Amino acid sequence: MSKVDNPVELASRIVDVALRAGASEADSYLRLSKNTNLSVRNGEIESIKQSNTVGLALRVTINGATALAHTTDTGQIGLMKLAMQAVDMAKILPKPKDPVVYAEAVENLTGAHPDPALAGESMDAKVSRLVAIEDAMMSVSGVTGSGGAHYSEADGETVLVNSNGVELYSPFSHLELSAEAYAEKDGESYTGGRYIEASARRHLKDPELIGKDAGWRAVSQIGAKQVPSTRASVIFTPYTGWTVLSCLAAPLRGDNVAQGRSYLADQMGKQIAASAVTIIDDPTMPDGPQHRAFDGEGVPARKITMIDGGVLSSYFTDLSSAGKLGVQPGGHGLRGSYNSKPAIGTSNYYLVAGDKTPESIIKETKRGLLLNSLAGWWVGISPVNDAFSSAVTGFWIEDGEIAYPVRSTSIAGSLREMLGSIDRVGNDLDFLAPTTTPTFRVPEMAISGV
Amino acid sequence: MDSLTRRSFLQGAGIAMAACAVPGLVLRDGRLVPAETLAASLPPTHEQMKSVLVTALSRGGTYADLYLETRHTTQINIAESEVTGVEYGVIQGGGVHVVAGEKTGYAFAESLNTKDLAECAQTAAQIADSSGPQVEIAGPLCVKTFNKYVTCSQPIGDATITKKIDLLMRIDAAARSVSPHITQVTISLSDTVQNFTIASSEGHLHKDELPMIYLRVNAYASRGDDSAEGRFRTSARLGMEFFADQMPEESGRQAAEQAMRMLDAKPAPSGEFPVVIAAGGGVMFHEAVGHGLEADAVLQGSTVFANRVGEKVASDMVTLYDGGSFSERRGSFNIDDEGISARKTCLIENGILKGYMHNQRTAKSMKTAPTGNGRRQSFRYPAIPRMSNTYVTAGDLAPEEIINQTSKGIYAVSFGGGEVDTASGQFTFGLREAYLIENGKVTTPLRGANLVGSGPEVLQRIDLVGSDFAGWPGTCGKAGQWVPVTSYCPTLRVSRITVGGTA
Repeated sequence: MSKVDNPVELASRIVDVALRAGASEADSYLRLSKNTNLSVRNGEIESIKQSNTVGLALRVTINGATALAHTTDTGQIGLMKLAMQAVDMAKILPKPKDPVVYAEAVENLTGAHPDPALAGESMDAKVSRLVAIEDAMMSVSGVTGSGGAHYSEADGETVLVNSNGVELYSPFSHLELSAEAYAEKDGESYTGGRYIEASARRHLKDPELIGKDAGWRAVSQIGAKQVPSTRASVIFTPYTGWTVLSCLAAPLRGDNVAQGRSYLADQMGKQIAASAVTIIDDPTMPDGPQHRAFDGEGVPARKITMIDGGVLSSYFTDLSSAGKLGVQPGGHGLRGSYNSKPAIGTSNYYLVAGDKTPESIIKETKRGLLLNSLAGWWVGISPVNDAFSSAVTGFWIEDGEIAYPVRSTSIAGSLREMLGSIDRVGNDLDFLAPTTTPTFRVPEMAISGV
Repeated sequence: MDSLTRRSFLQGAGIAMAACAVPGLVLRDGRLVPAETLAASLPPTHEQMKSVLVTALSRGGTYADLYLETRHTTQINIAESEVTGVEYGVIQGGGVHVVAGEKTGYAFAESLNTKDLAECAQTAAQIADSSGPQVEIAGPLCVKTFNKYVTCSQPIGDATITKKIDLLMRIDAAARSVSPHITQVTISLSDTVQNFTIASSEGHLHKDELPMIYLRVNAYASRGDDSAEGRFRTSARLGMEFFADQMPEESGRQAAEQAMRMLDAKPAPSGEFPVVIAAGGGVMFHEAVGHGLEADAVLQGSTVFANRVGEKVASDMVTLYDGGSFSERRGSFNIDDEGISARKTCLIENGILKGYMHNQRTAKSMKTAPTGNGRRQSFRYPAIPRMSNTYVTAGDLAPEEIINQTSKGIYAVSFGGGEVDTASGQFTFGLREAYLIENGKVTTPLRGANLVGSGPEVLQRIDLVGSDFAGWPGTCGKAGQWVPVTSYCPTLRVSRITVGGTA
């Protein structure tokens, strides 16, 4: 197994080699990670997958043109090849209108804090946690089968070095936990699941609660039917509301705005959502699953308010789009994996909590749908088309009371109209997923069933 | 050069110094090239591979495989009529899979070094316990030959980046020339050459090389307050012959023309309607029934199609196949990622369920033969049952007839993807381009909307099947890994399905 003893030295060395090989500017991104994936089903280990990985990407700019080369071979020859490949490609490219911008060095920028206890946790302890989750899930009355409890963990380091003197190091840890339950009754099958992401084990919810939640989600759907097509209120829960924020990220991307393909391009400073809507992106949050101190370009992470009381206050920007839009870079230039070039993305991205309890929001709804799960909502994500349409499961509400479970039904609306009309925001915000919301209500949407 | 700038002098010195410092490298024409391959990066011999497999099965187990891979990928992106990025990289490594009954152990390393692979074998072996069944590999690994379906005449590796950029600029120009209302065009071309070796405890050794090209074009149209997006996707297991003739121009035009058509789109209706799926809408079957026929879901009891072989699960007009044995399609291969020969497997015949898609583990558990559906995203993942090229066979009816016979409904022309919950059978897929059908005629363009339903119910409601045939490329995600696929079907009608529009 090739181990990297001094990752910062390695990342610096490849930048030097690139500069000596003809690059005018360069940056390197190194990611080391120890990974474990574990599944337990019916009380026993079903699968284990383990690896120790290393990945290195080098960007070089020559005469304004940029190329990226990546490898997992960090030996001497591997590094030489990497530099030559990147330089050879950049040399033949025409100079673009907007050359890549490299981050400036910032004083005293330190990395994130991983979970130090992660490295010491035995496989048995990880297995026991999953067994406890599954036991809790199977104990929910009505659950007839288990889709298993699953865990994945990545524990590692990232380094970013560039020719402007940026030299950044950060350890990281990232965990995912999920469980799936089946409830069969009268020849029909219902599925319920729960999924959680965190950057440290101390943020993982009590295993019993995760298991019980997954079980309840399956059982509460027993007897679900379609609703007659209508227009009515839709209540988004923490488990479903995040999809609306996800769709909104597309027109909020600075590159889409700068290149004239966003329906929010000329809306800065305007009221684009109800005044109850404040949306924030905050990578600096220590409890957030996407906690980081700097982005994939080396720009310091900051807490940014995207929408403030319904007024559009900021786009998501990387160095390039910030330059075009004439704003301070937002630190949203993320690298999805070691070999991705930086691209605009979200971190701990959430709708700020209001003061209503979820129960009161349901009670105050004359008729509508309380959502349980969404599917296929992502197919229509577009920066130029704000149509939102999704298959749903949930519960029909009549006069403030839950009447019956629903599935095989769709909801649809215009994202701008939905945001503009949100009239209830709950107090139940948690940070168990990188994009998250409290319960909130859209007073009217199209609901399609029979 | 009559004058050496300080910078270029330093560059030359730098490389020369590096050449001295690193053994095995030679400066040639100003470039650093490896003089020889170091022993450490030679892949294992057949004997070494067998010994890795023996280590993998040292604690017991019913199956093990060693998968070695080297994959070169190039990606070029175009936006605003210029190159915004060029990326090139290599992944190389090996993974060891150990199966003990229903349990799976997997470990991989980014190395072809025998010592590293033996360590992976030891880690993966932990899944078995010595009291379970043991498998022995008798004799040396036997190198197998197999039918080749995938061929390429102009290897991707011989094409320069400049040549690829020229092709993309033709696409860009053709898209923009469709209309002055086309304000933006983005293009992404990715090509891959993959070399892999699979050694399995069945005693076999297979080696193969596969190319892949994937072209994505997005066009954006704007007129007054309206804006719309059009997409074109095409992919094949081919070399540069993929771009023959006017193919680049056609790709650009199709994306731009779809964007222009969608500028006039109105909200889709809401409720249950007959939907005519244009040829190419095979994603419906991929979601409605495909995943539900993957044998791991059957073994887990998490599919509505479990224990239904021999039963009627679809209208008698539906015959469904899956297989890798096609020459160019994106989902094709010669052997699957466990070394099983590609073929075409009949899953549903005239509405009757015939069988499932298997990998080695599920085939052994269900005491049947593997079907060549064991696939993995790369050496970093174990092979599991996956679809490849999934298709519904054509019928006899002229496609126009199907529209003529529909008094009111939706004509769905292009699709964006979908999802399924195999345990409940609930599936959904999204429309990107659709039209109203009124009195047997295609009329108003509609904004995208989702269709939702129960797989078994929707399949029974297919009442008209056309004589044409087309398909789309896709990438299918399952258990955290992605594999290239296609879905093909003729024009056909679903008599009733819920459409999630707003009108």
